[in-house]
Amino acid sequence: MKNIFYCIFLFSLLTGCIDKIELKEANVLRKLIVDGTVTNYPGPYFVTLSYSEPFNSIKITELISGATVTISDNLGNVFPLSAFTNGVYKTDSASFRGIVGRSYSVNIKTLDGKQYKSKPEPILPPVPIDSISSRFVPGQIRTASFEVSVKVSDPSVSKNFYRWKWRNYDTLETCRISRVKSDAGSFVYLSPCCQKCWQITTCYGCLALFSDELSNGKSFTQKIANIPYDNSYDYYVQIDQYSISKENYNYWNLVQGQISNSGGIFDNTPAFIEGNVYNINDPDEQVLGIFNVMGASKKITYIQRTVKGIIPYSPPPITGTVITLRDCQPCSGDTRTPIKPEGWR
Amino acid sequence: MKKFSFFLLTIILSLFFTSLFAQQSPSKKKKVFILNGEVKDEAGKGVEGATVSIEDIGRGVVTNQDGYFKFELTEGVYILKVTYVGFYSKSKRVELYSNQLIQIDIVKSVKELQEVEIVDQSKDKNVNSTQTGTSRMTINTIKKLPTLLGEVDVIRSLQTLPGVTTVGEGASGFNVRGGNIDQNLVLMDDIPIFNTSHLLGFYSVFNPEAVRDMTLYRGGTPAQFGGRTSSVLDIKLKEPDLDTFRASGGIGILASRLLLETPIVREKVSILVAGRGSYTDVLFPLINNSSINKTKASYYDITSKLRWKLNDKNALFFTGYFSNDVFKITGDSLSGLEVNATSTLFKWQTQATALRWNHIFGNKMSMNASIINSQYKPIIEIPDVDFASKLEAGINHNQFKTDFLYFLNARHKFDFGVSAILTKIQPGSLLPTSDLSAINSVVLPNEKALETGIYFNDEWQINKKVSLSYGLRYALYGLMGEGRVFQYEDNILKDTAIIKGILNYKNGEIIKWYQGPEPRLTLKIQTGDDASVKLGYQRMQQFTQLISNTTSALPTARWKMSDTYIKPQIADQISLGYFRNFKDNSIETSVEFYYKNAANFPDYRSGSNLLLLDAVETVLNQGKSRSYGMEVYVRKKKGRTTGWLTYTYSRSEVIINSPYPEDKPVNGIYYPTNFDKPHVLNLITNYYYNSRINFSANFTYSTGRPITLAQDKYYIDNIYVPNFVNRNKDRIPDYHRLDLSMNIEPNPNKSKRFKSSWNISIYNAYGRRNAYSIFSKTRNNRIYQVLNRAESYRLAIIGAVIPSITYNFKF
Repeated sequence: MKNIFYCIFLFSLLTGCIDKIELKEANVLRKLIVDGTVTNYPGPYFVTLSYSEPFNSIKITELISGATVTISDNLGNVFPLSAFTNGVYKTDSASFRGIVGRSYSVNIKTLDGKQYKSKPEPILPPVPIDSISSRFVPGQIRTASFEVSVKVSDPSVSKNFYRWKWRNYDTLETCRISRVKSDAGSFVYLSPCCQKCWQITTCYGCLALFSDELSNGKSFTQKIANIPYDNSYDYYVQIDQYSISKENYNYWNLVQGQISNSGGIFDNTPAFIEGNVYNINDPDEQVLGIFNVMGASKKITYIQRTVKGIIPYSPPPITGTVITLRDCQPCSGDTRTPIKPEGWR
Repeated sequence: MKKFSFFLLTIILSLFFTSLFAQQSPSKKKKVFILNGEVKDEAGKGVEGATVSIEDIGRGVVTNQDGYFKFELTEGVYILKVTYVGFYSKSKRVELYSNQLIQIDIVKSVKELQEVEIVDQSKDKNVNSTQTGTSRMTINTIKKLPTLLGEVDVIRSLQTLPGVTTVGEGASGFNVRGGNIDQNLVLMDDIPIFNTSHLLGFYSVFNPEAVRDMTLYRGGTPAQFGGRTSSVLDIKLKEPDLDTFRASGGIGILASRLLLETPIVREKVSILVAGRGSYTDVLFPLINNSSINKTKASYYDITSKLRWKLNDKNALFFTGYFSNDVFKITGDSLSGLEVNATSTLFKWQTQATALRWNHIFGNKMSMNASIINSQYKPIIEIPDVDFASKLEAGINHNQFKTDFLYFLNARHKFDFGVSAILTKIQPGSLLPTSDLSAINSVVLPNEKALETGIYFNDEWQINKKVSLSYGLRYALYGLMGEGRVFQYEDNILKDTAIIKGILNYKNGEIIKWYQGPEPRLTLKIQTGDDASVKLGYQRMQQFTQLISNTTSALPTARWKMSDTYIKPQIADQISLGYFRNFKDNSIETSVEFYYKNAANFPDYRSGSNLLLLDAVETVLNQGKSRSYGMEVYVRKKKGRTTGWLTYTYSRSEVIINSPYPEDKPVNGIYYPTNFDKPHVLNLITNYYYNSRINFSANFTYSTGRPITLAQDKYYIDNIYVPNFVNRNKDRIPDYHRLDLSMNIEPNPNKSKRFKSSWNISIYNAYGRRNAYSIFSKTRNNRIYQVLNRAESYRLAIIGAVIPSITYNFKF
């Protein structure tokens, strides 16, 4: 009934009366996707090559191995990348680190002989983060959180465009949980980690961007993350702040617009988003993705998670008989690390 | 094209002179006399809008504001018939052997509201006139249509006419024969209205209580009108009654309205004031959905009109209008500003006035001189302390115009006049509204332009079978300083970072001239007593445009004058129609074909922020649009069941031919416009059950509008991004809807002064969830990313049966 009422009401314009539908699979040519980054942080830097998938396909992205990938700068230096994992190429951190002010571009030659290049872009001077603050957001059951923001003094000398990423590290005792249900009941087997291990948490699909177009030279506050109030101990957070070019900002701003498009007629008309990579011999070929050249700075802090009178919600309890195994599991995978995070206390 | 216009002009002029000579030739056998007349009611007051027809010769005219009418006839005996809504019709025999002045008195019908048939045009007017692509609707017709949440709506009713479409429910404005919403000249008592929408786009700004009728010109636009390329919607307000006090109003679910009209000096001065206000602010918080119950929306408008009859030859009219809208939503996605805000407040206001002097010279000529001002102010406010700011914009239209109407003789009716418009645009001024705000102020330079027009039109009855309406409008436009023009490098995308120089212009100095003729032509050939073929050509020019890259323009979208780089839009249209009436005029039918080509149709590069952009030319492409179609119209005017059926097949497409490689994704291919709906069918029926009860049904079907769907997707930096390739290649599902209504009228046999009526409407009677758009979302949380899942959704704005009830009264 509630649903009907909200469908009735006109102003569903903004959220709407939404039904899931099935569209028939489009038959489209696969396109090269370039996802790479170089910054002034120490390397290694990674470039990932893959092919696009039809929109409603549920196949895993096809990665491209065997390509020759190099990064070149405006002084004529060429830094080769070596194959790291399938489709992922990595620079040699000993011989290459991005320098602020120099321009970089990526060069790719695939196994079928096609050659791609990105338009050279400079690493812009990084801008420091003044401070990190947090604010409690009460919310409903299991949604109470802390809104984490950065304060930045925008330099007035030039137009600045920003992008942020954040990550959290938390110690991990159990490296594998397996659940077994049988007639005898349900059992939960916990495997301890073989070494000290940290779980990495970040926000998938999140983009935090800012342009000083309307506030050049002023200090501003930007919301970066919402961290859960699921415990009362201090929460480690590392925020990377990137100085990006106007073109890079436009690219990500369009991406943000298209992933948040909810069908309203006052949304911008969706269109192809052009990155900075092109086919040298066939400029008409559509190449997806972008090679990010960014000036980076970071700040690490611990967010205090204590709110008077409100107790944190705890993770759902494990149901069943818990059995801790003696055999340990390695701390591996792309969301875990055995390396102690910077500034960890 | 210039050569062609010149050619046309030559033909027209030569035809004109030939006809003058023809008039003077001694070959005419019968003498022509002028029959002047006045239609008066019981109180001796002139009746405006009454139809006077001479059925034997199939001619008819409508009385002017003062009840006067005029025929030019050859000597003989005629029977004149006067018909007018709410009055008994009356016939009078006239023996015409000299110029004559007659008076016809008509008597109010006792059963005032009992009209079954709405006689708003003389017999066979559709066939006999030289008008093509023109539709007229009276407020009585509009009021009978089913409503959405009880609000009688002028623009929504317009969508039942052939050739009119919209992007979807809630979209602002309307689209005519493949034109953008800003290509319609919407006039309310001659005042251009820049935004016709309340509540973003759900309702229109015209108070139905104050509207008398509206005429939509899709083709065959009279030379009097100019400045927009697609259509003219001419809305006329009621004229306040000179001798009785009247009140009317209504109470609905969403809003209420009231109109009062009263004489101030009996027979001389009278005034009308109408107001309307919504109470949606009270409704939103009741909805249990976080993003809706924080929405705030409300509107009101006030319409007023003063009429001062100085004497039999002179009258003054003053129209004043004010409308205000407030719409607050959570988030900043619609603001178009580069700030991160938790909510956005939109406000928009229209303030308009017009003073018109009507003068009658002798018995052959009349004149209307008007001074018009129309102001539109959209405002966007960001309340968040960190970015607290206010973006104000505005357009200010000042116009002086004089229109003359001159009956030369029975065969020539001339229209001519001049108009001068001084438009000022403040494109945007952003100011911080708190000391803590990080926003710097940005004030874009004002734009100022003078647009003058001179026109002439002759409706020439060449012989009994052939009539030609030919006219020419000449527009001269000058963009004036103070201003600056960037000089760009050749052959690369215009960029303000790489310029050769800046040309500065002083206040009042002309920055850029544009000018050109706009020929208008309609040829009518009578193929029988009740059938005719009409051929039309028209050219229209437009110097002021709305700049928007959203699917449907927001009320806060920016207005822009043509300048050095942004050329005026020019549209040429040819049309061919066949008009035929059956069963003694009780069934009207027509079929019209048109083809329209428009140059300099605007398109914007993606990702451009248009609101505070100094140099719009850096993101603008001007392409060509072509639209063509067939419009079929059948109307049954008499009997218990009346109504009309329209079917339109039409296409509207745009092509961009940009010299720059950056535009390659859109270049060189015709793509359909957002409102390209090939098949549209409307069926409107009204059933007269008895003198108190009538029923209406409205069925509408249209092809789904074009949309760009994601074709593939890619994974980059932990985000799945949809990739859109071919613009508007896909379509949303077809749209169809049935609305029903029942009108309960007051008892006509009771002669109480206070009369009340009810309208009960069911909108979307079979509860179809018509798609408003289809959109796709990639799943971006960690688990779904592994599965690479993307899902598609259908958004329906109205997904249920919407009943409503409105109470109306008058006394």
